[in-house]
Amino acid sequence: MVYYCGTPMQALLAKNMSIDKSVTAALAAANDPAPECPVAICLLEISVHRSKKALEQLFTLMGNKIFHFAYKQVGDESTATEVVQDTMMAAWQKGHTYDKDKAKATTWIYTIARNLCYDLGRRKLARPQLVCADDIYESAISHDDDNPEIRSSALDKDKIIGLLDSLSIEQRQIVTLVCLQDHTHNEVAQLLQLPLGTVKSRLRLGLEKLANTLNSRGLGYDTSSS
Amino acid sequence: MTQAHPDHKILHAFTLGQLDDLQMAMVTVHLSYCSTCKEQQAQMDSIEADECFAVTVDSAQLPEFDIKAMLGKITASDDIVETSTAGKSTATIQLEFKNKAFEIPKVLAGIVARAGHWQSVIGNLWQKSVTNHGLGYQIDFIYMEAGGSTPKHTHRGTEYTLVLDGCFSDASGDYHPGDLIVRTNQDEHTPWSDTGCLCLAAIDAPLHFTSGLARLINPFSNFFFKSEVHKTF
Repeated sequence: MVYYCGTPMQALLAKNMSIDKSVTAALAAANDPAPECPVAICLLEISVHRSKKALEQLFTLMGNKIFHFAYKQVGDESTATEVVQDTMMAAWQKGHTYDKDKAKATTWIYTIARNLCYDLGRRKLARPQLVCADDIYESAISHDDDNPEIRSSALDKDKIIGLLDSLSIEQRQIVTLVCLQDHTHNEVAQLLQLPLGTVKSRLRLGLEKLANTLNSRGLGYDTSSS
Repeated sequence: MTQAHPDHKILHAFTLGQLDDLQMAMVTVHLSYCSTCKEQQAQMDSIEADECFAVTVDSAQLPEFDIKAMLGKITASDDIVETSTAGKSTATIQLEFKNKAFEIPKVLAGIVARAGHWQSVIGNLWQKSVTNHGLGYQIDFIYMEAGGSTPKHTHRGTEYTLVLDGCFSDASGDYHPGDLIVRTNQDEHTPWSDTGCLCLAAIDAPLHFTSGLARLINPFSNFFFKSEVHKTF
């Protein structure tokens, strides 16, 4: 089997689904060379704006598909319905963990649903359960002794995320979108409905503040004695 | 660097969540050490996602229920759930052997919890059997002390060995933490360890010793393979 990363999924969805205009408008005017997948836009809208409409939209896009997949995996209607509901719940509560650099939005949804199928599907087994999906799939993210650089940069990213707490909500939101999720300034301006200048100035102030915090605290180095 | 990897079929079944608990845990540990397999598995996630979501769904339809009410219930709380994945992947639990504590991946906690005491098997070889797991294997933590080896043996079924600490070798090479070695009945081998090695091993049929004194044991006992397995079949 040949593995490939590209997918006709985005095109397919864009062509066949009529997407709520208020959702697509958020990124439509942004100078994004690759059009965003509607599922990705929903997730972004949910995590950034806490948009209930986007959650409804996500359900319209994915509800039946998730059910179809879950039914195949777990074999009964009520558990499959539960998987759909819990996937929607996860989108609402954990949508911010979707990272477009790591995977496509549909893959994010798939892994959530697959993990739920794994745990819920095994409830009915009589034998003891030695593992749960969270231990398996999440802990498979990176241990990576093969590549210590990746590992240490993941740890640094972790520390940086901790440092974000020192920023105001407005600054943190923009720094996260630009620096951690790699959205362009234009995209962020569209998404948050702010003038481009405001985005840039908040980003600059945020980064300056982060730099100051870093200098005083250090990334893992104790500078208090110097 | 890991050198013994799960094959494509195992990785694919892992992606679908269709391996048994033991194999799920073993592959998880391997993936945490092996970026090549990790990447391949992530690609499988992506392909499975495309395949299962690209279908036009006519046959299976969500049963009628109050969607508004469901969404309302979900959005009633605005709390977000912070799941810190960093750090979680490196979380460990401890497993002791002769007053030495080994850090092993947390995903094995459920298996460690069902393990008994260390028992000497033969020479420098120790085993700590896992019971009440409900799976069709004999599962053991194995410790091969430095300079230790196992008698030459073949398998009647399949043997899965996951290296957790230290290093062991056989004629095919050296194995380090994260290596997942799958041996079938065609393989005759004599593993040894120069430095000491902690493994998690599972066999789905008795070992068949082909050399030395240990060969005498074959007709009488199942050696590693105890009544536990027969109960569960």
